Amino acid sequence: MNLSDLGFLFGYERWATERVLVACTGIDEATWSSPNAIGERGLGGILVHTLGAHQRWRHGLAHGSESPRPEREPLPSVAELTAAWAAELDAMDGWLAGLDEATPLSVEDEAPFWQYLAHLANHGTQHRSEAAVLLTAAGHSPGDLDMIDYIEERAVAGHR
Amino acid sequence: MRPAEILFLFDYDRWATGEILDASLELSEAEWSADSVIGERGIGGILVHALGAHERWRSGFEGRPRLALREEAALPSQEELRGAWEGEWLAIRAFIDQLDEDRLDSTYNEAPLWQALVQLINHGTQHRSEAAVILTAAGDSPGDLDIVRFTFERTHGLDEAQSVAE
Repeated sequence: MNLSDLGFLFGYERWATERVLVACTGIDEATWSSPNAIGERGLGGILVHTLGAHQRWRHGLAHGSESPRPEREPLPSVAELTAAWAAELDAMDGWLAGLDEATPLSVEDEAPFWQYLAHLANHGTQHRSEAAVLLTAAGHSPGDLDMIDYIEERAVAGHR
Repeated sequence: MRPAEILFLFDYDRWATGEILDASLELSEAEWSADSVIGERGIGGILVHALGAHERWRSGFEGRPRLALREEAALPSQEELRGAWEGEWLAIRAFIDQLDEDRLDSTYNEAPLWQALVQLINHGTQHRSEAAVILTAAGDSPGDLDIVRFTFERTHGLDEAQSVAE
């Protein structure tokens, strides 16, 4: 998997995450902040955890540290979380843009580097799906989040 | 994208789907066949749809005529569905085994073939997540389905993989 391929995966990640966050706009406070809707988490908690995992993996792969733990902070508002996600997605794009072509195929703890990034993108899909279940039940469906829809939008825009 | 990387992703898809199918064996008939749990579907319907989509995309990649909608047939039992998945895993493996980088970069429906393959993996993760929600609520969690756990089971063994967080 090369840098262009990873750019595609994280382009989709941005597209789908932004759709979920837009769908959270106007959600009632109880749906946003209640825990234990899916496992221990509710809608807000799921999206904060997804952000935290994104930050920790990026920090870990880039700097060898995993410090951010937004899950331990008070639950942010939808607007605050949207801003934090925008900063993280920009940071991810900037970090990926600075990698050299050999990095995705290098080995980190006995596995190819790209597999950790594929994990991170897949982890996002897993938790967006949970968020979509809760949003849909609350009448705020984010719409179709399939990667094929992202691919088709890119094709219309002339990207391949 | 290289063929070995696509194969890794589909090996993950098989592993994670197998974990879900194993966990679903614990469900009662009513839990398995209930509908309208998530959207219009229940867990049986979700997993039949995931298989049907897998089969239809793979059949399309192979240039075959579009398959009938598996979702419109009677709901199979958990064991019957696993048997059907086993057949699909053999079929997708045979397809992947004859791919090379040029074919992966070739255009399929206006995008590179590898992107169409990756979206199929992503589609599976979306629906496994829904299935895991239902299984966990029923007390039959499938456990951690992260790619990194699959990776670590292959590189470090099961015990160490279980200690990997996120």
